[in-house]
Amino acid sequence: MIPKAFKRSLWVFHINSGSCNGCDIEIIAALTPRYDAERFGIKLVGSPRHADVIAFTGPVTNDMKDKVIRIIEQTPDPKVIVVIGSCGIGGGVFHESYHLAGPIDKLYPNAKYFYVPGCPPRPEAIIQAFAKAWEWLEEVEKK
Amino acid sequence: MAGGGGEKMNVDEAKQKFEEAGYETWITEKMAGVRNKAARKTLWVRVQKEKFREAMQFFKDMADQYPHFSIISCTDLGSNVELNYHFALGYGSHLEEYVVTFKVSLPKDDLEIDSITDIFPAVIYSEREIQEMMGVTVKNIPDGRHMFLTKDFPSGIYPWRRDESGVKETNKLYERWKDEA
Amino acid sequence: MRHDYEIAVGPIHPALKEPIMLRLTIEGEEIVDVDVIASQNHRGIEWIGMNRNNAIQSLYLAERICGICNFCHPSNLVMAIEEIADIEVPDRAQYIRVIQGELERIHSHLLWAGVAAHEIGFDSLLHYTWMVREKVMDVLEAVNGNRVTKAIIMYGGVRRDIDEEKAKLIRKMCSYYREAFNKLAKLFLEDDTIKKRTREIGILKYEDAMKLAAAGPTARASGVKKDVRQDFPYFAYPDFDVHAITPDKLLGYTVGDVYDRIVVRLLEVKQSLEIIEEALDNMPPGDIIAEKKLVKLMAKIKASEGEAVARYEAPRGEDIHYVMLKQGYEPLYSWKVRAPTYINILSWRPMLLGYQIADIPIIAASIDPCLSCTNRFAVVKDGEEKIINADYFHRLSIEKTRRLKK
Repeated sequence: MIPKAFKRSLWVFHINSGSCNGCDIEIIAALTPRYDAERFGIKLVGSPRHADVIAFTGPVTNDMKDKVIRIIEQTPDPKVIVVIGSCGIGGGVFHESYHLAGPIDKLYPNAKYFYVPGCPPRPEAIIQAFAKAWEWLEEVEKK
Repeated sequence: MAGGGGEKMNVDEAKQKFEEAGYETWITEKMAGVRNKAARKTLWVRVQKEKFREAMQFFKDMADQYPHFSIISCTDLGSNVELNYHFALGYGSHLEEYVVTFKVSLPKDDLEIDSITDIFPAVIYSEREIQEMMGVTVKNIPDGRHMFLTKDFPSGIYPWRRDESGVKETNKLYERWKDEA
Repeated sequence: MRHDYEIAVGPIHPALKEPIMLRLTIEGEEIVDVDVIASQNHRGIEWIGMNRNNAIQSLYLAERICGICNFCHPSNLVMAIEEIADIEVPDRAQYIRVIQGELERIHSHLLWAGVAAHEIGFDSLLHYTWMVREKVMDVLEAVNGNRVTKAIIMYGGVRRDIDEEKAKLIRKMCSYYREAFNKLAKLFLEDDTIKKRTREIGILKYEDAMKLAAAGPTARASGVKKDVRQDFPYFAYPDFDVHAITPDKLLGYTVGDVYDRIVVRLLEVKQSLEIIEEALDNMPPGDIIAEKKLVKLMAKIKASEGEAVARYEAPRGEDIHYVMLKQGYEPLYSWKVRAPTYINILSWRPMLLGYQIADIPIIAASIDPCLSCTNRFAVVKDGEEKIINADYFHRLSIEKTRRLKK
């Protein structure tokens, strides 16, 4: 990670749109002492209005479609979404189901997306994705 | 009827009691264990639709402990729909517990079954589920809303059906390889 | 004058691990009615298994029903199909399955303990338990090649052996946990704050537990001596003398509150350690799978016909699958999955009624719900919706802890 990135903390809001919990527990594992993402200032927050980045898991079920879009709209611009897990990216094992609304980047295209493939990805990969999102945010800010 | 302590009714005794009451029954089993072999057993009981509530009441009165309701499973067999009410009986007895499954067959042109929430309150979610997933009407259900499907799920479509009212449209948005072509 | 408020908890909330919505009617601080709305996480898994996948593909689909207990669902599917297709499992594989199941129980219960600590605002304990939990995750990774989803079980056996080297790692882990257990037990069971927040909170009476068919630790904490490992023979469990753990084993009495659920889960971690060590000591030699060639296996399953019910004691309670196969039809002809939470959420109602809003997170979490999280609540007041985020709920919970401490 570049040292400049330590200028500000990165606050993350976690949305589960119907995932199997595998990625969700790995996100928490990334925050707890072994991987300790909090030492970089990466922190889960309880409200989308405080978030710099959204950690997004799950293939978006029909019922969650409107709800996740409403939550994403509440986050400040620029909207950065880190999609964690294969099912959020391309449906994974759940693709073709009758109760899914579609991958989030097609439902909400006006955001910068970062992808972490894996079922579930390792905590290191999740932290790296946040670091990438962070670098991108810093660059946008410079401009 | 309260659980715990004493000799418990085993699967063969339960089978006999059902047979005495005039039900068709059979047992399936599978061995488990390595040094200490034991069989896990399932008791299947066929019940006519008209006698369904009566059979459930009989089961509850006959059992020496409160039967543990598990789930209702549902299969589309073409001309009829088969409902399986799965229960477990005999908890607390070491390795002697068994599954009791009631099979009820409903013809496709008369998909209706009585609710048994007053006998086994825990069935409510499962009854709601078979209503939305298989299109079976549960008579006298205290709460008939959708359980797992959204409120605006198209009516007349039942995901577990294998006929024309099954799911026809699936989500193609995930087929990314088509974007490139 | 009566003032009823309606609070919607979820679908995005930290106490609920999958999206689910609770609609609570409250009067002042007191909860007077509970309704559960559960459509948020429906992915149509049974439909996929009955239409798109073949039996072997469905095994990996079953693994993704739940990422936390990802061994129990494929286990059930495997047991049901082994019964239908009459596949005999080698002895060694049965033992490896037991070890895998118990490793999963340890990881799941520690995960829950951390979440429970978080719900009452005790975050340092969350971090401590999750740090301790990493040990079992390391072992899972060493044994299976992945931390979370393992893909270890297969029709007729398991896919990877536990050799001497791996057994050594597991034994080391067991002795580590024996030490950690004492500290955890002291932190969770003797701490005044935890006692005040969990004793006499969210009580589920024995009669209600029976009537609502509660399963697993939720039922056992109410004094129901029920455990599938004890009652129903599967895998190699008949070899082990497993006894259902109820809180009176430690305390001498049973209340059926949140505290008792902590007691049961902690004791079960210890029980799992004992089972693992016994299994390692007595592991029979031999093959680990009945049929190595997948094509042959597939053909055998495709040629089978029949139906079976399988049950498994998952960390959260009894898990049941019903499977029907039809000759020549490649996907499962009928497949019904019942996860433990499906039946345990019925118990939320008697648990929540009469308690305070600040108790919702810990009571909801106390059944270890397998439903996922996002954090928002909407308070409906006179028909006007006001969104309150989870921070607020969490803060309420912490404030109550502080109040009690004084």
